[in-house]
Amino acid sequence: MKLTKNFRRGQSEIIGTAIALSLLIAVGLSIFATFFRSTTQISAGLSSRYRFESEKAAELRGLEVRYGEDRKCRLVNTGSLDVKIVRVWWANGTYKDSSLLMNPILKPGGDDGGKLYELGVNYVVTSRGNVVPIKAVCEAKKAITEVVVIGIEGLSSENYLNSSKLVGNDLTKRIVTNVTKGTTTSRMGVLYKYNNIWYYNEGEGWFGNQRTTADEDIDDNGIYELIVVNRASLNEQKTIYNTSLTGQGDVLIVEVTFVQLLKVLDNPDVITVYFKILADIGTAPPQQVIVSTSVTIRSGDRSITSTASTSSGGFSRSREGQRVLIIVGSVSFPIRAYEVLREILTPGLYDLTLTIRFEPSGGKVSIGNIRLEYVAVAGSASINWQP
Amino acid sequence: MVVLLVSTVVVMGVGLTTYAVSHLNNMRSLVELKETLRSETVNTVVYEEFRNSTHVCLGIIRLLPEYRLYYYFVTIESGAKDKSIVDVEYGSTYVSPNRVYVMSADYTPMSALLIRNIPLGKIVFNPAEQQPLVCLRVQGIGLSQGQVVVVYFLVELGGNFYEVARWYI
Repeated sequence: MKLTKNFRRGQSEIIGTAIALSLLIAVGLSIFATFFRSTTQISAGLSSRYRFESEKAAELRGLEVRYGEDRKCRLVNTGSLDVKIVRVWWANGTYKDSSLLMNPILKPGGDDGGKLYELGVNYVVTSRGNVVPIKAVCEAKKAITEVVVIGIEGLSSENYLNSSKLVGNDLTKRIVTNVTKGTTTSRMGVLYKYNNIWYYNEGEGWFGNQRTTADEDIDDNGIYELIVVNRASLNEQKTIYNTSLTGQGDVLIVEVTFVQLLKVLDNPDVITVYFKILADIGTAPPQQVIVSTSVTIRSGDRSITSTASTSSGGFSRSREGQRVLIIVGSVSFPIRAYEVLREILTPGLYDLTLTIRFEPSGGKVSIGNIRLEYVAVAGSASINWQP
Repeated sequence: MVVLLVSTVVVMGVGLTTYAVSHLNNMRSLVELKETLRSETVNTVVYEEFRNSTHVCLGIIRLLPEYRLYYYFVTIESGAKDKSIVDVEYGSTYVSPNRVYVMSADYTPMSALLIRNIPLGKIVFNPAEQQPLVCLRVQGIGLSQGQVVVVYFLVELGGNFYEVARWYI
C-alpha cells in the first residue's frame, strides 16, 4: 500500500516534468522558427537588392553616348541587359515619359537612332534609376571629335579665328584678297556662311544677306570655310573664283590678308600660325599641283614673312566629280631668338597675310574653289578680332 | 497540505505559461514588424533624378512589383538630435510625432525630437506605371553651415509610419 502511494507520487512528478519540458520545448521551437524564418526572408531580400544593384551598375557601364561621323549623338546599349528608358529631362526642369517619344527599350547593341539628342534631351532616366547626362557627354565628345578633325593639339578655342570672331556686322573686320596670275593681280572677295546668312568681304568689312550657290562646307566636316569669290557688287550673286593653269611655270598666287588681326603681346617669344586650305583641282591627282604657302605679319612698313611647313592630301567628291586638295600647315616666328625679329615685331596690332602659290608639276590643271577652313594663332600673339 | 501545494504549483504553472505565451506573441509581433520593415527597406531604392537651382527630384523604385503607398517628410538637420521640419508643398497630412519612427540605432519615435505634428506627403508606387517622382523646391530653404536637407520616406504599418529610406540633398 505504501509502495503504491510512493509510486503514484513519483508518477505525477514525471508527468508534471514532461508537461513542463514539452511546454519549454514548444516555446523554444516557436522562437527558433520565428527567428529562422526572419533570417531566411532577410537573406532573400538582401540577395534581390544585391542583384538589383549589380544590374544597375552593369546597365550604367553598358550605356554609351557616341558621336558619329554623321554628327549625331546616339545613346547605345553596349551591355548585355535590356535597358528601359522611363523618362527624359530637359535643362529647364520639364520631363516626359519616354514612351511618348520613342521605343523606350534599348536592346543589347541597340541605340536610340540619335532621337534623344535631336530632341535636345539633357538627361535620360532608366527603370533601374540610372541617370545619363546625354547632352553634356555628347557636347564633350563632339568638341573632342571636332578638335581631332581640325588636327591641332594644344590650342584652345580662343586661338582660332572661328565663326563668330571671323564674321560680324561691323566694318572693322577687313579681309583683302588678291589673286595674281602671270603678271596680273586682281582683287577678289571672300564669302562665309554664318547663322544661315552668307556674308561677303572684299576689304571693306562684312556685308550680310548675300546670294550664292556655293557649298559652305566642301569637306563635309561641319566647319564652314572662307571661300574666295569673284568680286561683285553687293546685290549681285557671288560666284566662286576658278581658273586653269596651262603647265609648269604658269603660277597662281592667292593672298588673303586679315587686317589688324594679330595682337602681339609684351615680351614676345614665339608666334605660331596654323592654317588649313582647301582647293578644287578638278580631276588632277594631288601630286600634279605644287603648293607652297607663306605667312606675312605686317604693320605699316614693317613686315616679316616665313615659309610654312605643310602637309597635303586630297579626296574625291564622287557626287560632284571633283578632287579636293587639302593643305594643312604652320609657320613659326621665333621672335626672341633673333634681334631682327624683336625689332620688327614689337607689341601692337598687325595684319596677317596668308599666301598660297599653285603651280602645276605637269600638264594643264584647273584650280578653283579656294578656301580657308581655319587660321589659328598660338604663342606670343592673340587674335584681336572679337566675337 | 498536499492539495494546497499542488494548487499553488498549478496556478503558478498556468500563470507562467500564460506569461510565456503572451511574451512570445509580443516577441513574434515585434520580429514580424522588424522583418516587414527590413523587407521594405531592402526593396525600396531612392535615387536623385534631376536637380537644378530651384528643385530636386527624387525617383523611387520598389524591387517587389507591388502597389505601395509611401509617405515622406523633409527636415533640416545639423546632427542626429537637431532636426527641424520643412513643410512639404502639397498633398500633406499632419500626424503626431509619436506615430512617426525613424532609424537611428533602432526605430525611434520622432516625438523624442519634435513636439509639433509632422506634415507627410504621399507618393504611390504602381508597378504598372513608371517609377514615381518626388520633386521638392529647395530654393529658399535657408541653410546654415553644417546643415543638410534630409528627405525621409516612410511606410504605414499598424497605424504608425516607419522610415524605409532617406535621402540627403
